[in-house]
Amino acid sequence: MTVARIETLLATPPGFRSARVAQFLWQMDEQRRALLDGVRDLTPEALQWQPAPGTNSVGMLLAHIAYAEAHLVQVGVLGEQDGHAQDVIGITEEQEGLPLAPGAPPSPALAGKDLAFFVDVLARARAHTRRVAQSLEDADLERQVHRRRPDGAERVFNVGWVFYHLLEHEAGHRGQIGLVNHLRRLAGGG
Amino acid sequence: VLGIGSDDDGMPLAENGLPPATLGGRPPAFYEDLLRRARAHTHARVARFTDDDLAREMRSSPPQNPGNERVFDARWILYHVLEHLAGHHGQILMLRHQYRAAVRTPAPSA
Repeated sequence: MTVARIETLLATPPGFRSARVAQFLWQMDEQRRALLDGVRDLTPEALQWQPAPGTNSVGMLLAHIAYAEAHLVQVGVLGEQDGHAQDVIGITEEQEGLPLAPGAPPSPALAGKDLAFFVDVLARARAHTRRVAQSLEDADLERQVHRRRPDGAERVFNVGWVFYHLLEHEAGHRGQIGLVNHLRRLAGGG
Repeated sequence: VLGIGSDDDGMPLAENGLPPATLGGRPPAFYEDLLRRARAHTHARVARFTDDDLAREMRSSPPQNPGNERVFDARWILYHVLEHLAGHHGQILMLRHQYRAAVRTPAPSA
C-alpha cells in the first residue's frame, strides 16, 4: 500500500534578514492560505450576508483583516504616527465598516464586491508587510513603540508583539468567518 | 490532564444537535479550570525545549485514514495551538454578541 505523506513543518522562508521574522511570515502566510481556502467560491451575495442586522459580513471581515494589517505595520513596525492604510490597500477604515452600529446593514462601500476584490486587498496588505519584514533583524522585534491613546493613556508594545497580534487577529476573524458561513448555510443561503 | 474525554466537548456536533449533557449547567469556573490544566501541562512540557526540539519531526497515521502519514514538527504544533485558540476565541466573541442581541430582542411569538 502506498502511504501518502502529508507534511506540515513550520519553515523559515528565504529572503529575510531574521529567521524569527521569517517564521512569523510563514505562519501568517499559512493562516492566509487557510483563510482563502475557507471563502473560495463565495458569491458577492454570500460575502455581504449578515447573520443579523448589526453583525459583520464575511466581506467586511476580509476587508478589516487587510486594513488592520496595513495599519499595524505602518504604526507598529514602521513607527509612523498616523496610519494611511488606504495608500496600501485602496480602502479606508470607514469603508471596511467595523465596528458596525447596532442594527446596521453591511458596509455599503463593499456592496456587490466579488471575491477577487477582497483577495486583491488582502494580497496588497501582505505584500506591504513582506517588504517591510524582509529588512528587519532579530533586534527589531524587541524595539518598543509608544503611542498615546485618546484617553491619554500610554500604550507600549514591541515589534515582536505586532507580528504575534497580526497572526492572532487574522486567526480570530477567520474563526468568525467560518461561523458566519455555517450560519448562512443553516439559513439556506447555499 | 483535563478530566474529560475527547467526546465530552461535543465536537463535531451533529446536525441539529444540542450541547453535550456532560457540559450542561457547568459554571465558568469549570471551564477556567480545564483551560488552566491544559496550559499548565503545556508549560511543563515545553519549558525545557531547545531549538532542536522545536524542529524535531513527528509522525502519525490517523486511525480514520491509515493510508496517510502525517509529518509535523513541534514548532508547527505550537503555531497551531495559537491559531486554534485565536479562531475559537473569535467565535466565542461572536456568539456572545449574538446572545446579547437575542436577549435584548426576543424573537416574536408565533
